Amino acid sequence: MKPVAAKTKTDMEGEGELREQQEEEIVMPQTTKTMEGELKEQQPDPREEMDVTNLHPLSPEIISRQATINIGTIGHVAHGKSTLVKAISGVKTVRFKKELERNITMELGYANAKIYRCVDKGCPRPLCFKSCGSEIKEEDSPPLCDNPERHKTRRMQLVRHVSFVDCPGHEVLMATMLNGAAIMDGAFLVIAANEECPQPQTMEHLAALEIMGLNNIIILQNKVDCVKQDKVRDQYRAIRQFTEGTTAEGAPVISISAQLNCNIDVVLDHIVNKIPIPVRDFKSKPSMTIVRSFDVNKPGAGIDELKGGVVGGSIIKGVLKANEIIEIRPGIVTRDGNGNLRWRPIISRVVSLYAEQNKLDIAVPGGLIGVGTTMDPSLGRGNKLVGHVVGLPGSMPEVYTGLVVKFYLLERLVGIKGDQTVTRLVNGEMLMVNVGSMSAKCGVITVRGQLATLQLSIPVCTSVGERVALSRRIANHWRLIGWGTIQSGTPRQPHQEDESS
Amino acid sequence: MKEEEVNRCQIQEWYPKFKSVSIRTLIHELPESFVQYLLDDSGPFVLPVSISNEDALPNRIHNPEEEEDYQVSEGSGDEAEPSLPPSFPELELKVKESIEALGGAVFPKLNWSAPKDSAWISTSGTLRCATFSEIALLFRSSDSLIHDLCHPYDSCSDKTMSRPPTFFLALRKWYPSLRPEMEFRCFVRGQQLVGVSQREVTTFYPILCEKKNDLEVLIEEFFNDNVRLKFESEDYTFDVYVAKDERVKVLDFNPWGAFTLPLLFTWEELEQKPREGVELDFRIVDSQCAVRPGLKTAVPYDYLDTSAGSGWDQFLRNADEELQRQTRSSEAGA
Repeated sequence: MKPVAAKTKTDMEGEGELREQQEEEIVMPQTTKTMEGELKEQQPDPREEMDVTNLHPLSPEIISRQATINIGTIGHVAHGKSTLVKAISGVKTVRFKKELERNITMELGYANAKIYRCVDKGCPRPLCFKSCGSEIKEEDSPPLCDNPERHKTRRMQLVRHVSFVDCPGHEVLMATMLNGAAIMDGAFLVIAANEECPQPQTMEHLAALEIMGLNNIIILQNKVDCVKQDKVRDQYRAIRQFTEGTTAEGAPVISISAQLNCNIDVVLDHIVNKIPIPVRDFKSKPSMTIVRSFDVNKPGAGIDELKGGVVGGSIIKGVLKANEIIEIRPGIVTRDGNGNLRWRPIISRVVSLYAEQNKLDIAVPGGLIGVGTTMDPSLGRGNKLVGHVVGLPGSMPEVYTGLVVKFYLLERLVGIKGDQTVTRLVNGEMLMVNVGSMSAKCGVITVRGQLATLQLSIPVCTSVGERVALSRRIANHWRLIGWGTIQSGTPRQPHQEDESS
Repeated sequence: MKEEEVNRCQIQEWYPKFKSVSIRTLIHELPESFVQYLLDDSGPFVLPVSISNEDALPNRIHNPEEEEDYQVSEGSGDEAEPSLPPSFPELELKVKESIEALGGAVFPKLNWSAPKDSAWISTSGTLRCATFSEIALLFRSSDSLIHDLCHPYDSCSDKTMSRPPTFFLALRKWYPSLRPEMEFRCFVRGQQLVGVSQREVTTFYPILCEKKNDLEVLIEEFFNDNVRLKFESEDYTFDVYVAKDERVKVLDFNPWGAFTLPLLFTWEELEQKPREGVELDFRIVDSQCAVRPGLKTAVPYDYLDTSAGSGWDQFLRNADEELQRQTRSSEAGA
């Protein structure tokens, strides 16, 4: 039926439109039921078969597919960060504008790159380095060395797989604090040679690095092709001067032209030789906080071609493996007719793991990964699972709907703009509480001294001792008024399906 | 941009004309007292008292142990009494009737905006509302709506008012399974459709690559048949949803430029398109991109505000000073 024909009768009252739901419900398998069958076929614990204790962030089987080192790129907006990342990774980073107008959100741009080194030990630095995008080419054919003296015949070996995280302003801090999504192992500070230095934003960035205790900084003087040589030298001195006494003091300064691909090999050399290999916990039971969840099916896909829901996030500790049985908590959250909250974990199987386009057999802490599961795809649609926690059944934190929090209120709102004292908590008032990367509203039930009993709008998967942030609606924004630590709470048991509703 | 162009994009203005090609919507004028409730934060944030006893917060599960340990002795003077919560019985009744008429659940919206940024606050994590109380909660928690309430005409060259004289609550029928990838923003310049962009731009949807050509035809036809001659502005944007049966529905109108997100375009690019004889530029995310963090996490405004005088600004200044102090003292010590 074509749209023109359809616009005759059925549409008059807007009835009969958009009927996807009913049909989909018919198509959708009863996930929990079909899954039981699938689950039984699986090995009890695939972890036992593979010795993860020997893995590290440079293991070839890991870095051929997944980035294990995160490098933040910071610098003034027009200084060529994305050109640099493109020169290294071949990926044009798309950074979506903040919905600055009507919304408060954040987005980070990502691109991954592999760094190769010539197998010939005699091949001189930095000529022996080369980089390319993250995707796996043909498994056994690493690129050839570009060194013209060797007639481009030498094979190269993969030595690093890095993830570049575009950090405009302080978002890097937010991301680190809130999502644990991007723990930076090093940073590029990009300064354009054709600009006055330092730009105010550059100074802020340095201060931000300072606070994060980030030491592995490489300063890149970009766009050197646009200025005369003595100007480059002058700016170099200025950089030395303004980084004096900061965490970037003594950091290598490299003159590059990202546009002309000039000195990129020097940058690669520095990544390999100056940025230490991070220490990651591969041995614990895996834990990942979900930052994205999607449904990747075509509308109206038949039951046989239906793909399960996909969740994305960064593994905080441990490793996830294909075929592993996982639990997502709290998972399915509903309110019954009486207004009672119910939750039921999603037990599912990992059918695929990927980092960018690469399929993984095993995913480790590092950059963001996607996890394809067997769960009902509609469960993940539209980011419904953001903030939920992925782990292994039997080793998950508890789920709470009420928490007792030991809280501390700020004396006044942060910043001089909001020069306002923070008044005490009031019974019954609505606050926003951030627990991990989950935000929930809560009603304050009772306050006694430093202890507040909070009732949450959504169940959260967390642990006693975790930090929470408290915000109150002031001057039309949610403003931070204090923080606290979880003292206690009564874990809520999952809802059993056979109970009458 | 002119005030009248902004005004045309209000749902109570455009919906009556596009009713047959939109999703079912019932619109109520809001009493000024409710508007004031949304804006007022002199006291603590409490929900209106519901006349039908509906609560947006799930029931509390009572636990005797907790009660014993943490229940306060009333009147210990350690807590402030909440001020008397407001009540909007008439509006609540009307809303209740409309929700029932629309099948039990709605997507609420003010003149221009929906409270998208407060989806985190609802139990379902969506904008689905079944009660007046839930609507009040979403609206009162949203920064997006502050734009409608206080700044709708800020980018108008002929700005005379700070807000429209009346506000409306639009209740739109809730469709639980709308697919984010089938929503598109259409850019109209000089009454010509010059650009179409995927609305949800953070994900790659293979289906869009396959269907791009079909979608382009459908949307262009829809524009020519249903929008071009009916919407009076020269330059504007509108959002459409393409259903599985290939029918197109208009979801929203927005002004050209300023606050409207250009998605996969930039406003500079769009501005440069010639006013006539231009080919439609249809943009989608065309390859698998890396997983990006989502937008769902709400954070205190203070975490994001870095402007002069903000908490971050102050913090960074302090850090700078501290650093300089330490540098000086270590130099002195050396």
